[in-house]
Amino acid sequence: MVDPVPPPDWFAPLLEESAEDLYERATCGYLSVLPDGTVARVNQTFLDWIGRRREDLVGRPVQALFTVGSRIFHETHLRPLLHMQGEVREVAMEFRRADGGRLHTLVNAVLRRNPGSGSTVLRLTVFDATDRRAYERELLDERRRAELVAARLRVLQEMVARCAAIERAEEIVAPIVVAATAAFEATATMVWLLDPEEAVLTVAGGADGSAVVPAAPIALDGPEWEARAVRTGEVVVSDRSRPDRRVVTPLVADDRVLGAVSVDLPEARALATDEVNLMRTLGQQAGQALERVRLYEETTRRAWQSAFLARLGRDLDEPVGSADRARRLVELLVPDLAEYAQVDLAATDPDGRSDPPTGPDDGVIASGTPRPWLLGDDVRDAVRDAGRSGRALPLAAPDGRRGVVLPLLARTVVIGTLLLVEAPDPTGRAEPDFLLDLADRAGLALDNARLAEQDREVARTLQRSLLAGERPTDSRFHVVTVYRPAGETLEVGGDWYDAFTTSSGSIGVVVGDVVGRGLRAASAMGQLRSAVRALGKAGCSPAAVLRHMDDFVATLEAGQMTTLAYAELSLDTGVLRYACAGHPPPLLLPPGTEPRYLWEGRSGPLGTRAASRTRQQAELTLARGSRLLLYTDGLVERRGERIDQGLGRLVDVLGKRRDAPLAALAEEVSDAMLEGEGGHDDTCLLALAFDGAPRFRRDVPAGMAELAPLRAALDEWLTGCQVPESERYGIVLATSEAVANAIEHGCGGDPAGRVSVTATLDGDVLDLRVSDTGRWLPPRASLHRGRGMALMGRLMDDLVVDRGGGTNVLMRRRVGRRAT
Amino acid sequence: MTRDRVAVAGERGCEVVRLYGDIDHANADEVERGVLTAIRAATGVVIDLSGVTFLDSAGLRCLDRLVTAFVNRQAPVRVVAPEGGAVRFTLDLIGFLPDLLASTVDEAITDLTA
Repeated sequence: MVDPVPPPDWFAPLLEESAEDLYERATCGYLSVLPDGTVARVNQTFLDWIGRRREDLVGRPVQALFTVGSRIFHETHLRPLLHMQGEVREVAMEFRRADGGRLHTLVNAVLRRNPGSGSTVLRLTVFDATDRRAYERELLDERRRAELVAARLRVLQEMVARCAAIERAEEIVAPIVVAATAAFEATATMVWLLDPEEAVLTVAGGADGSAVVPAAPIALDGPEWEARAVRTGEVVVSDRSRPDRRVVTPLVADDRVLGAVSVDLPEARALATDEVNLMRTLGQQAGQALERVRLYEETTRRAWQSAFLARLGRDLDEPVGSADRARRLVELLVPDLAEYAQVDLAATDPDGRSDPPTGPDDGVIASGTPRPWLLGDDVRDAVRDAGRSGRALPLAAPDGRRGVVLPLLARTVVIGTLLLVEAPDPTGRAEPDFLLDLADRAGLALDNARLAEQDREVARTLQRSLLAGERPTDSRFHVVTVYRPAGETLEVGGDWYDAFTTSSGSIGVVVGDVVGRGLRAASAMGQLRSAVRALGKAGCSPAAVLRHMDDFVATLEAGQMTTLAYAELSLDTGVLRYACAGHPPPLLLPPGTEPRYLWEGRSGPLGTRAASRTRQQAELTLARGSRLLLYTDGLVERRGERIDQGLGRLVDVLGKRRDAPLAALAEEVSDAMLEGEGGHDDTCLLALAFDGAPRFRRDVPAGMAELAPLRAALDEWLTGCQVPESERYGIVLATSEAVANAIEHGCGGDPAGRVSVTATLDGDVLDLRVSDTGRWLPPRASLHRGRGMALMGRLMDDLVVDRGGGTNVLMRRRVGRRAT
Repeated sequence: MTRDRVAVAGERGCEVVRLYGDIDHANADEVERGVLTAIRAATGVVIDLSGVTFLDSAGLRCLDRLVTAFVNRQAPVRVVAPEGGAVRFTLDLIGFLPDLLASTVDEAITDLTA
């Protein structure tokens, strides 16, 4: 068969073997197969491999030697290939061994054709591939395992990446479910979170197929696998004897167990070690992510809370009154912290101490909407209890809404309560400690406003009482005053005016300005005003008044830097003496000429060391009909304007109204000077008319019985003004009608109502004003009233009825006067 | 008060009501009631305002009603208000029924009994 090659001499002994022996003992197996598939020849090597005898094979079909797979392969691949190509190399074939095992081989097959007969023989050369096959399988397994590990690592990495992106604790559930499903083909995954205070596990979420499964909480000491996992901090799996579908891993972060993840496998089986490790790693990674997001949530919540408190502090400082602050408070709380917020302020007794609120109906001064809380007795009780106990109190309304009542504390006193209802709170912002802190700050802000309100009220009362002093009356002069408090602030200022007669029969007028605002300024103003009045009444000259005031101010805590203008007018001679202590100059309006400032008699403010210690005064004689204006700097000062521009403006404004009646002049000058100005300072204006209009004034209760005495008094005044009797009757009649009207319709029979009558006689023009304080009631008897109005209209030259904040009836008539 | 302001006397077959003092919003209703209760007869009535020192729109209304009441009773009425007096001034101002006015009580009675 094989042509022998002439061997070299040195290995000739080894070649002393027959070709037959080479065939039979070859390192590979030989099989010759006839076209009908029967084995024709086989060598010993192959027989040894498969553990069979020669006679068992020869003459038998070769297919019987193949395993099932190889037989199919032989039929479907090998034979067609041989038919086409004549040979096939290195195909893997399996033979069945006699002991039932398999022989893995690589086979070369060659179809040999006898050219003479045309018959064919299939010659198979078989190489033992057992070792190679095992190695290949090992490689394959190794690769599969590596792929599985890599896939699971990818799953873990993806889960960690997704966990890193979450911002809220409950968002941890979805990545865990995805990871468990991908790594274990889990049919159900549940995430349980530990509530350490309650020692229970509650479902944070999960997936069972597509649905989220609600599940009851699990007690930490329970037999459930989830509880065991949390207790031990270890993965809980079934043992090999009793396989289970469920696997539970604890959620661990830095040795703390936060919860557990339970995974249901598609079938009950024991987990391999690397799978257990994977579960453990999953629990650790998810646990750390959960811990991080909890820290993040906590940080976010704290940042939000402190920003909210800062804003609260800022915003509550803006409104001045406590009611306004309470209103601002509930506006701030809704909707960020509550759907509805309500502030109940305790009633305050006159001592300024507050009682705990007795119920929500007493002094509910602010509330937020949208849905008002229907208050029941339980709420009432809770409000009361919260007020007493000084702690947060949860509430549940009958309609299911939940609320909390917080005490508004200020200086350890409960000044009211704050009710918050149904806070939409996904991030736990409204935790009790924070709300208590918030209520404390709000309480302090409200209380500060309340104290400031009390101060303001006292100051305002003081100021009113001081400014409403008795005015001297004399037909030879006429004083009107205008006081305009600053519009921007509710605090009273220290401006004042005063007019009084002196011991020498002169009239003293003063306008002053105490530095500062509030109670201190108001009370200092009161002392200074009294002092000036006392000094002036005693007959001190203006310079002497200022000298004494310097001494007086030195004894006061406040009042330094006070400015004032004091003037004293002798009604007999018209001599005016005046002095200004750091105050804007008086403005004189002589009859028939232009206004001019009195720039002499000037020295520094009271109580200053830097200013001249020598008090100056100046003197001039006023013509009859002259007018003199004293004022505080608020009248002439305007933001962005120099003081001399303001003084120039005052001259212009006054020049245009020089002939107006004194009262109108004072009002109009104030209006014009302050127009467009926000009112940043108090303004005080005193106008003195020398030889001004004789004046009549009565203020009577709203009773018809007052009519007769009033007529008598008016008649007497008219007589004093040399008004002829014939005219007096008509004037008195018209006035009486107007007063009766005011009593009947203006005050509507209110006995507390008052009617004032003012009459001025300026030259030959009589001005009459009848004012009431009430609301106008439509008259019932129109004919009767029409008659009254008709009488008034016929008796007077002009008749104006002005309704609005009480009724004013203004009447004017020219009268003939006897020459004096 | 009413008695002080209202005095009634029969003279030459007429009832003469003399009013005194101020008649105003404070007492006009009272005066009206006083006169109506004092005079029942449906004879001629003279309302003498010579003693009235002040009369306002309420006083005028009072006069209106008194005149209306007596006319309804078929009792002819005259109102006495002296020329140049305060009351006459008011009545003239408002244009009070000039036909009913007389300057003296005598004149009024003569007018009524003519």
